Amino acid sequence: MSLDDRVAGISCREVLAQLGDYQDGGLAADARAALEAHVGACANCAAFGGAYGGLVARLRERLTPRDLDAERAARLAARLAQDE
Amino acid sequence: MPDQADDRELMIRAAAGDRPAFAALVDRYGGRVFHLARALVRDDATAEDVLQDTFLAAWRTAASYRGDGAVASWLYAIARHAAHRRARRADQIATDDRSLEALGAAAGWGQPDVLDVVARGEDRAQLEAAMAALPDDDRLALWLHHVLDQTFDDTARVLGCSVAAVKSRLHRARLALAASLRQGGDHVAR
Repeated sequence: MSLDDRVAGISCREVLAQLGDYQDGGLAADARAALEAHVGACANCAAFGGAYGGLVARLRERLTPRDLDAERAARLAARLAQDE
Repeated sequence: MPDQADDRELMIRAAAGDRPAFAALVDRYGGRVFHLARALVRDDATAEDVLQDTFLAAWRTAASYRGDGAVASWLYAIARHAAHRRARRADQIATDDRSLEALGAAAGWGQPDVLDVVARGEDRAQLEAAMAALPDDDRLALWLHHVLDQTFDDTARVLGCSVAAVKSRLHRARLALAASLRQGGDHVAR
């Protein structure tokens, strides 16, 4: 199977191009429906779309910023206090 | 996520020389600025320099904050510039000029192991290594939007580009991240 194969009226190449907008909620309703119909019938795009969305979720979950540790915060406060 | 109206109130007071108000902003955003800086430079010591540069510049120029964007994105823009000044040019990773199709293939489209990237992304160390291998602006866009919850508008303000360009960059960056995870964090943009 290649990116040029058409399933449910659109190609895998078009799905790849639109996947970002789909993830971000930026696709128009008809384009969204076409993409979902394709993904529902194309195993490669279904797996890829799942990985793409899952990776975005992992970014949010795993890279949560932590507070400054006490020593680093103290050095920053001291540096700012020097600037009168 | 911190309240933006409260941030603006603190900034107004800081611009008038209110140190406790500025200290409250430092408490609120210090960790986020440090971790953003750490994503942009190669070691903790330089990231701490960027952290200090950022808040020193923010304190000195608080009066220039005009309230036309979130305080957070104003701080992140300062941090971006500070990181660029501190980072050695040799450390920077150039923009990835592969086609979308090539990125998709590297990210695993059509490959039986494509879902492995999600499992690898469960591990913070593997995820950070894969992020570190991305081009600088890709990494910054992912951090701003997906980790620091910046809107498309605020992300565009920090990056100095249009919202459409941010969306396009994010799509390419997600593909490049998947490719990087599949390759174990090796540099993918060469």
